[in-house]
Amino acid sequence: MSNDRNGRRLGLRKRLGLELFAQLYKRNVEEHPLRTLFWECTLRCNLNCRHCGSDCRAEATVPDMPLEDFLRVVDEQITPHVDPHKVMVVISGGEVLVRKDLERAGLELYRRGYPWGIVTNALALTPERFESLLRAGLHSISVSFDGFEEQHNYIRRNPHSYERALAALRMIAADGTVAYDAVTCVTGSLVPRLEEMKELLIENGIKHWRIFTIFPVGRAADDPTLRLTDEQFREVMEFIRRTRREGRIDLTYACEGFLGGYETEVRDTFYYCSAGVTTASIRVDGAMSGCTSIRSNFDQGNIYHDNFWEVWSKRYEPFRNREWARRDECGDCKMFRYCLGGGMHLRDDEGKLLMCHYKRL
Amino acid sequence: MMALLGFGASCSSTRQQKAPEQPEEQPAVQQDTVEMPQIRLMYGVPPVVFREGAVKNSTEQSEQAQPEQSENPLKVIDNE
Repeated sequence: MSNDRNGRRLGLRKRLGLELFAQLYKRNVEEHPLRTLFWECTLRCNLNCRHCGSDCRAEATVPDMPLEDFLRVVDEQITPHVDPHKVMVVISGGEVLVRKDLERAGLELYRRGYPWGIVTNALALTPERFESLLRAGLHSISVSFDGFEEQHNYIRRNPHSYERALAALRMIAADGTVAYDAVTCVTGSLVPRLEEMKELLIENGIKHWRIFTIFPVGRAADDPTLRLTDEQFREVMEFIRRTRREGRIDLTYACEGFLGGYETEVRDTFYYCSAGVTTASIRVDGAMSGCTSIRSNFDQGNIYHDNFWEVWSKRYEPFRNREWARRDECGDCKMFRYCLGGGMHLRDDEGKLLMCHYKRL
Repeated sequence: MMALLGFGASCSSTRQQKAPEQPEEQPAVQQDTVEMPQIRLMYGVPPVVFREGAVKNSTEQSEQAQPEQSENPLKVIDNE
């Protein structure tokens, strides 16, 4: 190991900040205001990525959720209880662009006052389609962009995926009317080339970049080529910290886990898992959860059997009281008071932690 | 206190806290602003503030259904 785990060290100032933040988070839990709603509208996809968390396929066995079913819940069970302007609806998949009624869905949400956005691999994001989405009130778009051509196409298993994603990002950045970011899944082979990748993005006018690292769920669990060593993980953290200080591109690490001494230096805020606290999801089969990356054993209800708002108001106990996660390696960890056992998506079917980011540092 | 320590008090509880009383005539919706993301969810999108007038050009056009996308127009899978 090249360093002495300095990345874990927390100074007094950060500890004080974390204590205060924990109090704010606690208040947030008590109020649990809905701020982000994921709608997994399809499991169909035009790619077959190696790291897919949804484990989706071109021919999904679960049919798409009809738009009317989703809108019924929005109209009858959500809108009466929220200010729609304050709830971001994230339409995800699968690949959302395979849905021919995506624009209609977006426009219906827009008319109700909801800002909405999509997560896409951009393979089918032509200028015409982008224009059509803008006309439907698109507010925000995240494009998966996993490195240079070789890495990206290897992960995405499609020789055209890289060029399409880069072209789409250029187009979105040049348009400048919607919030956007390039989202990169950093694998071991990309780590030595992160500086180069940063330059590539800057050269192409892309100003917002989000990095996440593989977590062992979905297909990623079975592919060792995608994982990072602890050393590489620390390199990624150092890279993000350095880049943020440099200020040439807005780079952030996703909401994956507590990062000890890197807290507030690789993200805009302290770590917290908003799943079930301010974030809910409706999956393609109607299941309700915190975010779409979380395993189905944490499902709290189903829109086809339950009232969304009743469930959001009265259930979600495992999301809002994480004492149950104080077990195994978290049992005696002094950081538990800050991380509350890490992201809900990092818990397996039995609730065991799959990976601790803090311990990798 | 968070600000004194040099941190943004940016968890959504503080972001969404009720603002001080404002005159009624003040528009409730902040227009044409994009709020910088506080934290970006794993597979989420950058959060934004709702923008009136975000629908570009004619909304009628977008109401027309998209032509059926080929489910897999370029799909090539290297089944190693």
